[in-house]
Amino acid sequence: MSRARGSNVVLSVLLIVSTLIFGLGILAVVTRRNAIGMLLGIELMLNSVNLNLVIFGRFSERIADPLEGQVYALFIMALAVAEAAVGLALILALVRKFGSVDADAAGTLKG
Amino acid sequence: MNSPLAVPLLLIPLLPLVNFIILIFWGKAAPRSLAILSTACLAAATGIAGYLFLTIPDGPPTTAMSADWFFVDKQFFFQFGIMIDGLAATMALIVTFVSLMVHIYSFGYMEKHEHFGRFFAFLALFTSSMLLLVFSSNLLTMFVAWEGVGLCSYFLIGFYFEKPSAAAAGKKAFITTKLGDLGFITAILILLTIGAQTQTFAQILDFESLKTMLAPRNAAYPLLKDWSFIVGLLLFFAAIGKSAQFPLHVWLPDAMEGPSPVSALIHAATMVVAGVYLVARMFFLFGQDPNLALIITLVGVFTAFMAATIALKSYDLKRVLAYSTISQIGYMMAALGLGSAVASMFHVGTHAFFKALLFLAAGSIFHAYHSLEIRRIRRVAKFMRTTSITFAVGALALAGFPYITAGFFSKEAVLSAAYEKFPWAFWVLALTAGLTAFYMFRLIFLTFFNYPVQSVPKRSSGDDNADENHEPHESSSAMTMPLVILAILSVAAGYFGWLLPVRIGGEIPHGGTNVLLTSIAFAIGGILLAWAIYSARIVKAEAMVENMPTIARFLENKWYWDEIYDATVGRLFRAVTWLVAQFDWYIVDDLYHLFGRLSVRAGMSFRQMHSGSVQIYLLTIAIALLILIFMYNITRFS
Repeated sequence: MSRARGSNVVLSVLLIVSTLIFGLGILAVVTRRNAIGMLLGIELMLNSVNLNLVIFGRFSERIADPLEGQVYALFIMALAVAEAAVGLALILALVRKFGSVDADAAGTLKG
Repeated sequence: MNSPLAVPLLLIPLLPLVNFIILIFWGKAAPRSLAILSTACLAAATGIAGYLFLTIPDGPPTTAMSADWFFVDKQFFFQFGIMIDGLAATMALIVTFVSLMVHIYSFGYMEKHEHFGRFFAFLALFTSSMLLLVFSSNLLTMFVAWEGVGLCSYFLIGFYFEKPSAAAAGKKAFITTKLGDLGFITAILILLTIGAQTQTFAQILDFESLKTMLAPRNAAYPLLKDWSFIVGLLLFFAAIGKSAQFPLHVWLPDAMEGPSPVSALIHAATMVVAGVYLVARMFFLFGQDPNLALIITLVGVFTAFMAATIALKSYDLKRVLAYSTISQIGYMMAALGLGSAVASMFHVGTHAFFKALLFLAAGSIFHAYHSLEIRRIRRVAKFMRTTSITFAVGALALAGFPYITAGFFSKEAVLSAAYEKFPWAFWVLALTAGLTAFYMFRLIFLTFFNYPVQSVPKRSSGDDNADENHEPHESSSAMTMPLVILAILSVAAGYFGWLLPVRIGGEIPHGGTNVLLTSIAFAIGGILLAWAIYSARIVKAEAMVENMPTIARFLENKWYWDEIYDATVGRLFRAVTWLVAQFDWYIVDDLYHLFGRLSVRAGMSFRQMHSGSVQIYLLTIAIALLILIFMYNITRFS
């Protein structure tokens, strides 16, 4: 057993917070009618994962440098910016096509 | 195994085959120049065939080439082989020469036809198949060529396929001859079965080895001897189909729907004698069995007589010629049955020339009159000098006009063969010769001079677009030149009969004065009778018909063969096809409809799931993911 970097209780609390954020993200994506709201939900889910990276970087014994997780988190933030740009572009296209940001308006997949 | 003869021998069928391939792909781009190329190649092939005819050594056949074709097994394999002997060389010369004449003639006849290239392509393929048939050294090679010939006849008879009657005639010819081909393939299968049992699989189909195996003094193959009658009968059935003998003769008159050059090539000079050639090639089998020989004689004699009587009352120029073809092939078959292959081949040779001549001349008349209805064509002799003279020469040869024409010599040979063996056959054939002379000169007296025009029934087969105000005129030189050449040969070929015994072996039978006088009497008698009725009008033709209404109707309806076949075979087939159709409609179709309806129903139920809302899809994915994670953990920790 290598040395523990912090207590398991703190780790659990942090993970629960992160899971809650993820759940809220899913909830937002699934329930929001507004496409921008859905995009926000996706961002929330992404950030909860980011949080996990930082947490495990800090608490895992197998990772030598705690900074490693934080570097990944930074990368993913940059990625999230790009992803948000793509998402907004998609929403823009959706609005142009259907004249509304309402996700239900885009019903052409209906069989 | 390959002799130096292999190259020229292969070249003869290959030249037309290559031309076929060229013509079928590029015939539309440059039909005329490619047709000229094809004709030139055929002329070369004719030259080679003529050279072979003059130079091949006498005696047993030379196998020029034989190659392994395909294997089933080390022991069971098939060979592709070609060979040459006097018989094959004679036949090849006739085929190439007549085909060459037909090619030249077609330049004039098909001049304005839009499918000029296609026509020449099929002519080339037909010639090629026929030549392969002539040179094949085993039954399987021959069967391939045999089928090729049948296929080409289908293409060419149905050449005017936009005309329903021509399409139907093509089908009729194909199906009827195919019925005979069943006999061929069955005979091959029987031989192969025997071969497999007696360890002679590889050579049993080869003509030469089959001949030695069947030789009377060879007692090594009793099984083969037992089956030789059945095999012979089946092969003869195939010959009957191809050579339009009774009872499979019905396709040939209908085949007159094809263009006239085709009739000349296929239905007079080459294809229909394929059956005669098969019997002549397998003569070692047919000749030694008296029962087979008798059957062949009976069929030949009966067909000769029957076809001649039908020709008496036919009103279509080409149909009269078609029935005369059936009748003359009956002579050839009879001669084979009577044991004289030489007489038969002699008649094949002379008949090829004068029948090709007659068909080509009939085509020339059709070209000028746009009709083949002999009650409408009048004064050919006035308008078309060359055509009428050459036609008359052909008719004289067919009638067997004594001492001048080739037909006289060959027919006399056949009659002599009959006289020696079966007097009854001799008398029937002699009477048929008289009928032949009569119906040919009926044609001439009716159409060449100004015989009063009779009432013509509205619908008649050879009468497409008769133009009453049209002045007939002589055909172009491309058409008359072959006529003149063939007319010369129709006379001259008789004097070259002595070449045949040298080339084929055997002797031309001569029955002496009795036969000579009888055949002269019947030929002249038939011509005189035709003159008396149709020119001098001593006896009125109409009065004769009125006096014998039953016979007249019987002949006019072609002995009711078509009706009989329709009532028996046709009805049976229709019943079977009706049953099959019911099965198709109610069982096969319904089964497929069932599957179709099932998938439609399934699709309808599955489409309920597709609400079109992305969020619901996402929710489904999330829940499914949760379930999967849950299940994974259960399996992991349980």
